[in-house]
Amino acid sequence: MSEVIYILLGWLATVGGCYALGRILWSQLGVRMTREEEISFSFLVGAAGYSLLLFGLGLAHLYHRGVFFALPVVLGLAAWRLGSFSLPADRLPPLSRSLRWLVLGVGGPFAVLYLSNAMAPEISPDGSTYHLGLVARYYREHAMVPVHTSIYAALSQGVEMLFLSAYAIGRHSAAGMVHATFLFLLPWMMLNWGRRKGFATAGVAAALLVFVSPVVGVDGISAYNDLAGAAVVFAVFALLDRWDETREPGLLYAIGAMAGFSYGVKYTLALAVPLALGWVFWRERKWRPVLVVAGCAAAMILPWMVRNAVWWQNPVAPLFNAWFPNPYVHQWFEKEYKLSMQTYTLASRWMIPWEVTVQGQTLGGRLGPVFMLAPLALLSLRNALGRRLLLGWLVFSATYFSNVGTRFLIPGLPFAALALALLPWPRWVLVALVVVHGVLSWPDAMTLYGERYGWRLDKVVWREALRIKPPEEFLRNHLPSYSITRLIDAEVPAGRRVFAFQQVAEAYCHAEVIVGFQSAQGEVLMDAVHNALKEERRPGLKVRYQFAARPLKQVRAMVSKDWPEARWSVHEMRVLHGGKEIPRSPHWRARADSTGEWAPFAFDNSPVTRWIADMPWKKGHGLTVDLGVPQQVDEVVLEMSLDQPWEGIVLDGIPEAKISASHVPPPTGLRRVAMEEFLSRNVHYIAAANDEYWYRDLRIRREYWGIEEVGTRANHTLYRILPPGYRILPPGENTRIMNKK
Amino acid sequence: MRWGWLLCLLASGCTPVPQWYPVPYQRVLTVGADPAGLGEFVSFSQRAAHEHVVSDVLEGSPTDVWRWTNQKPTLRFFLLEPNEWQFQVSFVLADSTWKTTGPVTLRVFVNDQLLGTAEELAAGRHEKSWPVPPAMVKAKAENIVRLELDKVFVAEGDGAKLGMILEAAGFKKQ
Repeated sequence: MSEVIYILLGWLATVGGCYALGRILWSQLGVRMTREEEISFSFLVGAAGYSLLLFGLGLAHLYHRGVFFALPVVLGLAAWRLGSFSLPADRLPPLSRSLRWLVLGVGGPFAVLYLSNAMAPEISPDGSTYHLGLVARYYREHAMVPVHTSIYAALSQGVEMLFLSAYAIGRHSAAGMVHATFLFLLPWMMLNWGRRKGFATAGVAAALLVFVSPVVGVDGISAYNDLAGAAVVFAVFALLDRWDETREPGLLYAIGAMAGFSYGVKYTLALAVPLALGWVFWRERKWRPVLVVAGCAAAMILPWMVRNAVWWQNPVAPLFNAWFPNPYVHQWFEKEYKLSMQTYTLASRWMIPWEVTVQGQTLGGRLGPVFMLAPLALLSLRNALGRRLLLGWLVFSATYFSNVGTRFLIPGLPFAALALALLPWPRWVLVALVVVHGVLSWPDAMTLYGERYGWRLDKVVWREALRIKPPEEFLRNHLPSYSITRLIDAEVPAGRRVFAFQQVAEAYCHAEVIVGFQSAQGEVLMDAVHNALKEERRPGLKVRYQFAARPLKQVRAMVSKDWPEARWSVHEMRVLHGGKEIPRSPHWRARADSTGEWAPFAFDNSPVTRWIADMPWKKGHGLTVDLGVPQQVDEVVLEMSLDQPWEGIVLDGIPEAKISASHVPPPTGLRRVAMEEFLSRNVHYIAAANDEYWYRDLRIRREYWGIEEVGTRANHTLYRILPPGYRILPPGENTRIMNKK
Repeated sequence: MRWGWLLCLLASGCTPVPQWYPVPYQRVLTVGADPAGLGEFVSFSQRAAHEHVVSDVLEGSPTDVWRWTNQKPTLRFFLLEPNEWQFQVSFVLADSTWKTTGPVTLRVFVNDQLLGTAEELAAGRHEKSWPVPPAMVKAKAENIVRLELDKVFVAEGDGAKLGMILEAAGFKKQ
C-alpha cells in the first residue's frame, strides 16, 4: 500500500506544484475569467513554468527527492501568502441535468478505466523505453545530462520534466498519472469553451467524443506527451479566442507562454507559435503585442534550443541535421527514419482513414469509427466559429503526414470534434453519436471489430492499480522486454553498457542500453555486426590506383560525379610505395567532406568499421589523409564492400592513375573483431531478441563471437562479451573457456 | 540590430566540426577459425558449412560430412555475378525413412522462385542439377535456396521430422 501512497504523492506534488506556480503567475496577469477557466489555464501556465524550473534544476544538478518534495510546498506557501489561490466568484453557466447525466453516463465508466490504468504499472511501448528511460537516467544522475546514445534525449522534454518530478517520488505510475491529468483536463477545457460560447451541448458532445476515443485513452494514461500537447495547443486556441473578445493585454503573456510550451512539449506543436503571432498581428496590426507573445514564447523555447546547440551541435536536434551537421545524429539516418514514419508498413496512404478509425494496429491505436464522420466537420466552414476551429484542426494536423501514427492526430482532434459537434444536428442525433462512440470505444466492444491486438486498453485494472496484484506479474505479461531488463539489472555491473538492436524497457533498468538505430554511436556498433555477418558488407572489393612515384603530403580519393542513389563507404584506405604499405603514423590526420568524425574508421585496420558518407555521391566530395610530411607514393588502395559502386571514384590531382578493381576474400574472424569494437566502446553485453536476424548466429556460434550466454528471459537473450585477449581456439578448448565462470 | 540577433540565433547551431581527425590505433586482426564467409557452394564436409544454413538443417558434430534436414532445408549462397550457373544438390534418402514415406518429390526454389522438381525419388543417393536463369539470382548478394520435400519421416517419440541427408549443395558454373 505504501507504493500507492507514493504514487499519489508523486502525482499530487507535481500537479500541486504546477497549480501553485500557475496561480502565482496568473494572479500577476491581471486577467479575470470564470472560476473554471482560471483553474485550467492557471494549471497549464504553471505546468509550463514548473517544467522550465525543473529544466534549470537539472542543469544545477539538483534532481534530488527532497527537492521534488520541497518545491511544491514552497510554491504552495508562496501562493497562499500572496493570496493567489483565491478564485473568482464568476462561474460558467451550469450544465443542464440531462447533460450532466450524459457526462456521467458516458464519461464516468471511462474515467474509472483510465484512472485504474494510469495507476497500474507503466507498460506503454515508448513510456517504458525512452520517455521514462531518460527520466530515470536524469534522476539517477541527479542532473539533466547529454545522452548522446539516444536521439530522443535531443527532443524537447517539457512534459518529461513534469514526469521527473512525479517519478522521483512515486516512480513510473506517478508519471503516468501526471499525463492522465491532461487527459482529464483537455475535455474539461473543451466543455468550458463550449459553455462560454453558449454551445454547452456541442461542448459536452465534443469533449466526450475526444475523451472516450480509444487512442486518446491509452495514450493519455501512459507516460507519453500527446495529451499534454493537445491540452496546451487547445489552451493557445482558447486564450486567443478569449483575447480576441476582450483584448486584455495580460492574456498575451499566457498565450506566448503556452505557444512556447507547445514547442517544449513536442516539436511538431511549435506551429502554435506562428498561429499565435499571426493571429495577434492580424487582429491588432501592432508590433508590441506580437513582441510580447514572441518574447514569452522564446523564453519557453530558447532553453531547449541552447541546450541542444551546446550538447548536440544542433539547436533543433535530432532534426535538420543537414543544416546542422553533427557527430550525434546523421542526416542519412534522419532521412530513412522520416521515410519509415511516413508510411509505417502501409501499402498506401489511402488506407490511413480506415486504419486510424477502425483497424488500429499498424498505426498504433484507433480514434473510433465515429470519427469517420470527421470530414463532415468541413461543413462548419459556413460560420466564423467553425472556420476558427477548422483553422486549429488544420494547423495542428499539418505535420501529421511526417508521422502517420494515429496518436499524432490527437492535437487536432479537439478542433475536429468541436467543429463536428457544432453542426446543426438535432440534439438527439448528437447524443446518440456520443453514446454509440462510447459503446464502440469500450474495451470489450473493441474486440468485436478492427484488429484485436491494436494498441488499446484492455480492461479496468484496479487490483493492479492498488498493487493488490504484484506489479511484477503485470509487467511480465504486458511488457515483452521487461523480463530481460530484470536480468540486465541483476547481471550487468555498474558502468557497463548493453547493445540491443531494438528498444527494451530501459525505464526499468539501470544499465545504459545503446539501441542501434537511436544514435550515431549505435550505428557504429550496428555497422560492425552487419559488416561481420553480411557478405556484401565485408571488405571484398579492392580498388587500386597506380601511378608514377611522387612525393605526396596528402592523398585524396573523391567521387567525380553526382549520383543521388549511391552512397560511398571505405573500410580501409591504404597508401603504398614500391608495393609496400606505408605504415600509418600517429602524425597522420584524416578528413572527409561528409561524416568527418568517421574518417578515422578508414585508417584503423579494422574490417568491421568503415567510413561512410552521410549523403549521396556529390561531385568533389572525398576522403583525405594527411601524411604529416611528404612521402614517396606510387599506389593507393581502397578496400570497400561489394554493396556499392566504385567506378567514378578517382584520386584528386592524379588523373593519370591506372585504376583496377578485384574481388578479394575478406578476412576471417570478423565476428570477434566486431566484439572487440564493442569492448573498445565500453559495451560488454548484448541483449538480442529472437526475431532479430543475428539471434540464431549468436546462439550457435558463440565461440566465434567470443561471448557467453548470461540467460534467456521471454524472447530475449543476454550475452556477455568475453574480455579483450580472447582468441578463437579449436572447438574443444573454446568450450572449456566459455564454461569457466 | 534585430537581424544581428537573428543571425546569432541561427549561427548557434553552426558549431564548427573539427575537420581533421587523428588516425586511431591500429587494430590487430585476431584471424582464427572463424567461418570463412559465404560462397557459391557448400559441402557439409567443410568446417564452415553451417554459415550457409538458414533453417531446417539439423545440427551435426564438426566431423560430420552430412546433415539431416527437416522438410524445407533452406540455404544461402553468395554470388558475385548472375550468369551461367547451375544449381547442384547431393543428398541421400535413407532406407529407414523411405520405408515410411515412400517415393518423395523434391522441389527447389531459388529466391522464392521454383527452379526445378525431381519426382518419385527412391531410397539411396541422388545428385541433381538444374540450370539457373540469370534473372532468378542476385549478383553481389545473398541468394536463398529452399529445398522442399513433399513427405518426411516423423519420429513417434519426439515428433522429430527427418527429410533427407544433405551432403552438398550450391551453384557451379555450367
